[in-house]
Formats: sequence, C-alpha cells, structure tokens
Amino acid sequence: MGRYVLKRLIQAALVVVSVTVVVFVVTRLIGDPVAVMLPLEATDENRAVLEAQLGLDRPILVQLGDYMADAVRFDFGDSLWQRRPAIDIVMERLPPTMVLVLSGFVLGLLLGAVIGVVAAIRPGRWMDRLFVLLGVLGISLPQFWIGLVLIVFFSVGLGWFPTSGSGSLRHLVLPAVVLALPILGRIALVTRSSMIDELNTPHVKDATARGLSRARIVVAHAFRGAGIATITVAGWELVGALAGGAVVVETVYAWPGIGFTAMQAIERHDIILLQGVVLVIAVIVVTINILVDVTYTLLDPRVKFD
Amino acid sequence: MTGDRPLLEIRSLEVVFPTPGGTVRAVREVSLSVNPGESVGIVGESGSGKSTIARAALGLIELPGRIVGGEVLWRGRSLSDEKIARRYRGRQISLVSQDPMASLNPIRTIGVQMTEVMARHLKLGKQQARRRAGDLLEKVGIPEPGRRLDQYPFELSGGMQQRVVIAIALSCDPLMLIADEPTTALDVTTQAQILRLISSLQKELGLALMLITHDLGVVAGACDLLKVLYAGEIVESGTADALFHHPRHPYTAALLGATPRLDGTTERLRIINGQPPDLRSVDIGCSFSPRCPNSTSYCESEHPVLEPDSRGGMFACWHPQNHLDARSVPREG
Repeated sequence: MGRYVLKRLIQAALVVVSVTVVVFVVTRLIGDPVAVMLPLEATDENRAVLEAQLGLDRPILVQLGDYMADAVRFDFGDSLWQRRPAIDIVMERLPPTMVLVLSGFVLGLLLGAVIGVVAAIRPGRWMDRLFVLLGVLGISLPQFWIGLVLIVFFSVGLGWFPTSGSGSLRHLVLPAVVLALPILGRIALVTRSSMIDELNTPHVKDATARGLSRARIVVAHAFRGAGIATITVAGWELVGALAGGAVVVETVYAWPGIGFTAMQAIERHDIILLQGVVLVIAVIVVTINILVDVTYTLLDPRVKFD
Repeated sequence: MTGDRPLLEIRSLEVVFPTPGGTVRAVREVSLSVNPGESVGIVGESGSGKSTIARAALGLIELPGRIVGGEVLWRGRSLSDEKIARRYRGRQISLVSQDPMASLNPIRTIGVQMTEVMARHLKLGKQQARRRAGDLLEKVGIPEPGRRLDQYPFELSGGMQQRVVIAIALSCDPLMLIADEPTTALDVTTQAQILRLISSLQKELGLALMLITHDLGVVAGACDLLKVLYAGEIVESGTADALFHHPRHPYTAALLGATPRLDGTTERLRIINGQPPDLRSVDIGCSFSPRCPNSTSYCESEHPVLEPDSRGGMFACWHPQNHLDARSVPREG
C-alpha cells in the first residue's frame, strides 16, 4: 500500500507540473496583461517599461524556467492585480469554495444515491420515471441558467434567500443547490442502473431464496455492489464541481471563492493569479483521484493495489 | 411433525412467461409432492421448466413470470403468500443453486454471508452465529473453517464455494433442500464429491431433497423417486429403480440411451433427434411426438395425460416402451 501510494504521488506530481506548463504557455500566448493594466492612451514606451518590469519581454522558456525555479520554493509570484503573493489570495479564497463545493457535493451525492436506489427498486413505475426525469433535467439544464432562475424565483420573487454574496447559511442555500443538481442527476442515474443490475444478479436472487429481508438485500447486498459505481462517479463529480461548477456558480452568486477569483483573474488578465488558482485546483483534483482509488480497495476486496 | 403429510405439495401448477413473441408456458399442469426425508429427482433438458419448479417451490416466481393455475403448498400453506414464503425460505426450505460463484456475493466475506442467514432466522448473536458457521463449514468438509470465515468467495475453489453454499443452506436446520443443478458449474471430479456430500447430509439429517438436473447420472444414486420433465410437463414418474430399468415413456428411454456409461458398454451414445418444442405454441397432441420413434398421428392430435402403471409409477404416453400394459389405443393401420 505504501509503495502504491508513493507511485501515485509521483504520477500526481507529474500531472501538476504538466498542468502548470500548459497553463503557463497558454496564458502567455492568448492574453496581454500589459494592455489591460495600462490606460488606453499609454505609449509604446510605457508598455515596454511595464513589460520589462514584469519580465514579460523575455523568451517564454526563460520565463517558465524562472517560474518553476520559484515554484519549487513555494513562491508562485505576485498577483498583477492585487500586487501580493498569488498563493495568499488563493488560500484566502479556498475555504469559501470548500464550504460551497462540499455542501453541494454531499447534498447531490446523498440525495442522488437515495433517489437512484428508490428508483431501482421498482424500475418502470411512475416513481422511477419521475426520478429519471429529474436526473436528466439536473444533468442537462445549464447551471448558470438554473442559478438565475432560482434567484428570480426565490430571491427576487419570494425573498427567501439573498440574491448573492456570502456570510450566512442563507447565502449558501441557492448556490449549493445549483451546484448539487447535476451531481444529483448523474449520481442518481448511475446508482439506479447499477442497482438494477445488482438486484438481478444471481447472488441477490439467492439471498432472497435464503429468506433475507428485502431491506437487507437492497442495502447490504445490492447497494454495496452498486456503490462501487457510485463512488467512481462521485469522484468525478467532486472534481467537476471544484474545477468547473464552482467557477460558474460562484460567478452567478458572487461567492468569494477560487472560482470567482479565477473569473476575476481572467477578466484582468492576471496570469499569475490564474496560474495560482489552477495549480491549487490541480493539486486538489489529483489528491481526490488517489483517495477514490484507495476507496475502491476498501469497498471491493477483489481490487488490489499494484 | 407428521411423517406421512407431504412437506411440499405442488398441485396442477401452471407458470407462464409473457414474451414479445407470445406467452411461454414454462410449467404445465405439474403436480408433485415431497414427503419428509424423501429424495425426489427432477430430470429434464434445458428449458423443460425444472428451474421454474425449483423457484416455485420457494414461492419465488419472478416477474414477468406468473402462476396462472394450481398452487404450491408448504406443509399445507400456500407459498403464493409472500409473507408466509419469506418465513420458510432459508429456514425450512433451502436452495443450493447452480453456480456457487454466482450464488455468493463476491464482495462480502463468507462469514458475513453465513451469519446473516442465521441472524435472520435463528436470531443468533454474532458470536454464536460465527461459532455455528465454523461448525457448519467443518461439517461440509472445508479445512481450516475458522480462517475461511474471513475469506471472500473468490479466494476459494468452485467446489469449496459450493460447500459453503451447502453450509448456508443447512445453517437453519431446514426440512427440505432444493438442489438446482448443484454440480453443473463444477469440474467432473468435484461433481462427484459434492453429490456424495449432498446425499450423505440428506440421509444423516433426514432431509427431504429435491434434486434438479439434466443429467440422469447425477440422480442415479441420490434419489429414490424420479420425475421426468419434458416441455414443462411431467411425462413419467416413478422410483429411480423402475425408471432406470424399465422406462415406459420413450423420452425417458431416449434420455437413458443418451447417458454415457462407465460399465464397459461400448455402444455409441444415442442422441435424441430434433429440438424441444416451442413453448409459445399451444400443442394439442403429445409434445414429444415430433421427436418420438413410437409416434403416430394419434399422438399428434391427442394429448396423453399421466396415468398410473402397474409398477406404481405414472407415465403419459400412448405408445409406451415395453408393452407390458399398453393402453387401449388403436394403432394407425
């Protein structure tokens, strides 16, 4: 197990370095931070001075080398916009994102799993059809749109929740729900179909023949098997919520997390801050992937580390 | 418990499976009973309805299958009442199914799968159930039973897995064991061991046994009574001895001819020509007539019913083998 984790950690480090290089090159090719930082009437001379100050006039490989050399010492550069270490900003913005992503994820995972199991018990009945419809809607409706609809309905119309911002549990409800919907949808559909498969396996039928209660068969036999698929998808969903969903939802609700920060960094061409956000997300994503793989071995004795 | 009252009584059972191509009549007018301590073999080829009978005996006909006629009684009570059936399943009637690898949950330990059944039916505590599980494993001939309890099914061989399934089936001291092709998924040497184990446990514990197989060799030593099933119907029944030595139904005779023997007979194995009938079409005559060497046009139009013969058995045939008591049916001229 120790060797396995070590191997995975080395792989993870390679992934993080690759992501850093790609983001570094792409951000420097597609945007010009200087143009955004200077007023419109700035002269070419002004530009050249600022470019040299920021070190952007040097060849991209030299810049990359510098960045990597600093990164090894945990110096990820100063934000062009806020003029302080990018990593400090990201770390300040991380806790709100964690609160939001984890609430949305747990909500989506639990409800999705319950809905999937209940739907699978009587496939084809009205309850199953209703849940499948709900799941498909959760997956297919765009989050920015649901986010706006919920604001119009619950915040503007009913006045139950604030339209945006953070600071209280009431602020958390709408963004967490919006983040949870696609997770709920996919978890429910995957859990449902693997539950239907499990409930039709010979070992579940033979468990019935042994007189076990329906509840025990559904929970201790079928769901335990189906749960492996659920965990796989849950890992992807957590990653997706963190790396994608959070950006959309935090922007719609002005939730002060790293997704919102990423949008601000992009608007301001703050390539150093953006780089910091991507790096932290990449580290979290590879960590989650390792945890999911370790979880498999706990759930399924047939899976071995190697 | 009275000795003479049958444990299991199946009366004129009719089971159908609706399919897109038409309704399949999987079990037709089947009646049989199993008395305490008695061993009954049910023999038939694939699709003859034998597994459906096994499921029905547990009250487990699953959708889309439906019982459209007759009844299944366990000690006089109908198993179509799910509440009653659930009380007896695993407790008084136990199942040993075909493929032990498929019968056991692959991701739960053997100990858990054994003790959960005892916890359910015998209300045993964890420690008690575990101790009993160990004893049972020993009884079915599994070495190092204590260690096995913490192992997963995939860590055991097929034969050992089937022994575990048998141990689970016996765990609540049942009155009857239903073994549905218990050796089909095993290799030949293991088959014989598992059969001997089932047989000896049946005698030792005084269990009733319903042994379902396509292989006459399997039931030969293990069963007192045999029922031969063809196309969802019982076509012949009687003592194992009578059926083996004096089969009356041409199908039984053909099955015997198709069974390899180890006693030096070098005769070529005979095959039964043709296919079992399509159970979706309602036949009017004898289902076996298209494949039967004795068949006449009378067989194609008149359905034979089970009638007692002079040996104490029953058969359903207009032109039986060994014309000891041929029925008064006019032969075609």
